[in-house]
Amino acid sequence: MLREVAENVLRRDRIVVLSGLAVITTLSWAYMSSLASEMRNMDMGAEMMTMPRMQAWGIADFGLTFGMWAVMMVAMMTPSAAPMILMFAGVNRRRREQQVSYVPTSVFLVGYLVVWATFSILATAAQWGLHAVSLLSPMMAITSPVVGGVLLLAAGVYQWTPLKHACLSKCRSPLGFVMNEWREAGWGAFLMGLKHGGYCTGCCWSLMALLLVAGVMNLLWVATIAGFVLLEKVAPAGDRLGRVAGVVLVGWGVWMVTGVL
Amino acid sequence: MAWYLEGTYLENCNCDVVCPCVASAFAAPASYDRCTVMFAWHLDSGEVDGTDVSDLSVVLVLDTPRQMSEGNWRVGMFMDERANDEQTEKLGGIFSGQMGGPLANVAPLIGENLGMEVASIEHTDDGRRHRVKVGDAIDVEIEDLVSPFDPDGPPPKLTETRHPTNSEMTPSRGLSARVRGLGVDFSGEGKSGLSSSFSWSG
Repeated sequence: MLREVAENVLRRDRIVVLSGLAVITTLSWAYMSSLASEMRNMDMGAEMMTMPRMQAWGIADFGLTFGMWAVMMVAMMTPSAAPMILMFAGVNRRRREQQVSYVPTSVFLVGYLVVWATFSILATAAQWGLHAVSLLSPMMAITSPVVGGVLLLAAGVYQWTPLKHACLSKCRSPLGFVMNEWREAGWGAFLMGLKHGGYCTGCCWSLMALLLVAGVMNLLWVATIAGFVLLEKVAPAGDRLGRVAGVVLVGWGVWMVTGVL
Repeated sequence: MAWYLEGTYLENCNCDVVCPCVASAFAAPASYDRCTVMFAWHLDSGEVDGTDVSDLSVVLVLDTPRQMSEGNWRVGMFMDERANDEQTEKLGGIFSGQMGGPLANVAPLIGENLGMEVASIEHTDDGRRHRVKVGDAIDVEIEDLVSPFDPDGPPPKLTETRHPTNSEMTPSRGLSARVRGLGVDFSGEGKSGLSSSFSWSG
């Protein structure tokens, strides 16, 4: 009886947290889709429209591009972080019941997203650099098959590195994280968010960089990469899947580079 | 509140060899519908707030969902009968996760406290076989898995397991292994065993 009540509360708790994450994710995707369709419309207006913007970036361009990357990272990464966020929420709910100090789940989430926001700054800077040397199309895809191919190749090789494996195995285990890396209080929860975000970025930064190959706002790619990242984290054979993808990416990269030569 | 504990550890559960939870750094679920497991610590030395707790033992029995991260663990504790009241209180605090250290992180996962029983706890170890007897409730002996080409050499180890006791564990197999106490009942014979040294502080 008591156990049933406890499990019902747990279920309700999960539904609240999951709904919150679903809302954040849906809003991000909606915003991203509207941006993408705006861009397509701009593209229809011929290159004259975009040409002036191709000249040089101002602060506003940097800000807009950063905003785009940040929203995109929230949309792509929130679903894969859900198991860890749920676990964090569950532990704190029990601490509240046991009258031990607890922390709102949002503190952990903010820490997690700060890491992806930082990544977004770096991605924006990379995009800026590519733009400055005129390597980006108006759809924000790398125009040089050699540069694109090398990026694919590098992302493929990275899938096989010990660093990737170490980060992925930590990302895949919320219980391992809670048992080994718990920190007390609000600041501790924020640091835990940062650390988990760090493992996630260690896993996924090279896959995210592939958005520059396909076109940053190419929604099909955004969805494919987000789906793959989720599978890699939660599917039973996720780490093997990651290695297979590594081989495919290397093959693809080689094909792109040699296709030019 | 300052304390440290050092000693040896062994566990035996109802998972197939090797326990998938530990082998996957706690990503994979247990082999069967419920995870039933016994954790046994022997303290070679230790001190809790100025109280010496050397040469005592504590054993926990657990019954958890297949995916341990779901929480709602049922946990019972066996306390060494040689511990006096003060030692019992202090070790009870640490092993129920109320005094920091590795077990404090998992305390919120406990859903049901199965209580504490005072019993004789007897450890024997020949370096290859590790055995613990707890009153009439538990008699578990596990044997390290070794290379058939070098059965006397050092046994292979699991590393980076993220196990709260020690990230490095020696995998083994239950020989005779019976746990029946505090509402946890299973046979770990032929099933997964693990052993290690440990050093905790809080």
